[in-house]
Amino acid sequence: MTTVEETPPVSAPPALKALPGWSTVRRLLSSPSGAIALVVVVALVFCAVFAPLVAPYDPVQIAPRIRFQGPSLEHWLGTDQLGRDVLSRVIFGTRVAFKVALSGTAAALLLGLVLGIVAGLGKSWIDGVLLLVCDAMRSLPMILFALAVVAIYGPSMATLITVITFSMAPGYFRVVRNQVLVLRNMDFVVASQSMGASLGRVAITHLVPNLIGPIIVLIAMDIPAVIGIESGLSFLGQGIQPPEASWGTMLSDGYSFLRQAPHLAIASGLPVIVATIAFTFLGEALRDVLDPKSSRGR
Amino acid sequence: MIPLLEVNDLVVRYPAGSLFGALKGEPRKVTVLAGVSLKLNQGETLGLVGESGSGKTTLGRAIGGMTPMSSGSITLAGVGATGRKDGFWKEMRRNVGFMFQDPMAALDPRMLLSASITEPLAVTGTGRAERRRLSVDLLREVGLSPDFAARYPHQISGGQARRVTVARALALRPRLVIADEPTAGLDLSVQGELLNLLNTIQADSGVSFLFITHNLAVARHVTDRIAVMYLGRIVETARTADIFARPAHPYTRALLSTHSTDTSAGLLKGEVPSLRRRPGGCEFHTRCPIAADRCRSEAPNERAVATDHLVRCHFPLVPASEATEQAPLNHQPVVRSLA
Repeated sequence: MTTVEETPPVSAPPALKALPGWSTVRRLLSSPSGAIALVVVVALVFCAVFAPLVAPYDPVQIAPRIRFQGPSLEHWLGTDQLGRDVLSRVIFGTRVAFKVALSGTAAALLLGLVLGIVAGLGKSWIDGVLLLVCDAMRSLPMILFALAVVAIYGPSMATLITVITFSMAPGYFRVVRNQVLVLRNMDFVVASQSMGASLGRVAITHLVPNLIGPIIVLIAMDIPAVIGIESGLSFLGQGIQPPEASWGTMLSDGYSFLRQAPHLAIASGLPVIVATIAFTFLGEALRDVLDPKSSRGR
Repeated sequence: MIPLLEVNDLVVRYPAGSLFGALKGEPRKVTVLAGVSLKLNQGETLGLVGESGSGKTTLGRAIGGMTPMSSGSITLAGVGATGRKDGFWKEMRRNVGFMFQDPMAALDPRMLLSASITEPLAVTGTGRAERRRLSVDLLREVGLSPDFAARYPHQISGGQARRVTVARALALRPRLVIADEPTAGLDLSVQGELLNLLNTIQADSGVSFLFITHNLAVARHVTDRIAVMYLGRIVETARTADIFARPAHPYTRALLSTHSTDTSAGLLKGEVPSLRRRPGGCEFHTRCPIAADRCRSEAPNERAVATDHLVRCHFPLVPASEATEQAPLNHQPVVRSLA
């Protein structure tokens, strides 16, 4: 997954080649769980990006005559209650899951990063207000908040992404803010300011590059949760709406026809499990690799 | 001659203490620098010595604009004084380089050394190509090979990091470099190399150094004059040779005795008093071996015991009358380069 492997462009100006890019990936591959996780994640991303090319059939093409078929050579994962190809739907579901998870976390990260830096560097009353809002957000049970927003704005992908953004942002905000409070008193930040660097300059040249390591790990750890939220809400009928394919809606269908066609539930439940585990392992492997103490020995 | 740097009655206070402490009558502010005045000439090296907590680093940071001043003024020749409306600090930063105590902490772990070295240039708007060229020049100047430009702080040693911070301090061709404990954490041979490097730089460029250290051997080797600090005040200022030959303040004498081999014990008793509860009268009286009643009630003013030899003590160890007679006293050899 590109966002995980590459260091962000903000840290690029001083040096592109020596930043933790390829060496990080190499060391990631040297641990078995990290290598497997990376391969699975890359495969899932490939499926998501090239879904129309990978999928053997149109995921919404109905064929009532071949309903509830088990796995066969034509339909590797069988067909569902409307005769649609399950494999194609799983592949397109990957696309939906990643679209929601990636854009949701990216927006949450941006929000958390900007507000966290503002809170960490700014006046104490700004910090206080932002902390208050953040803690208020975090005190809301996620699923209740999501259901309330969906109730108001109606279920759609945009609503889903908005819900995810606002429920993940406070976590990033907290991490960024606390890191900034530590960093702002480090000598290299004080030195930069004593040279006359503006706060914006300090934020871009010193804070963001030093924040991004822990945040990348956090994101990799959070993506499974976000995929879970998307599937969960779709399962409840509050997320992605039929006929669009989503792991959650497919799981919901599979649940309805569990006796008639158990392969439906299995085929849509497995990818959720695989994606979740792969991202969790990737996050843990990244944490080990990006840990400054372990990288110092090189 | 107009001094390059003139500090007048500089006071720095930090907010400190809890509300609970305030209820018990403790002050909410701690006075870290209690009115420091000093002069530094072009091409001169002034040593700032004293125990930990004497305010050496705070003074350096205040002059570098990193610690807000509560009162007093700083004047840099040709730039003006603090309080000048049109950006005194902006001009000041162009003329003053700063070396931090911990060179590793002063370098961004995620920044290439070339970028760290030329950061002052980047801030003042020098183009990227020019910066890349200058970073190599600066590295060469501090005796490092140009391939250090493409390294990260964790890939170099402490002594090399120190040289890198020297290069950064020199980036804007300042007239004054404030060096905070530049030899701390280096072993002796590396210390020597670094001091020689600083000497060479001074000989070539005529830069002034404000040299903060608690290592008297180092101070003796590199400084022209020494200011001794105690509890946020300068208690004695003199030429380096005079400080070592004829210390006038009992505190200076005590410091020297801990430094020399013959440890005449009992010169310094007790601990440094808390800045929160400064002693009345002369602030050194709680530890002074020759304290009298007057010391406990009345704070001494600064007075001259010889030319360029100022001391803040009621009973200086070199009486003013005697000072003139002692003129041909055995002079300590002082290693100095021409400025």
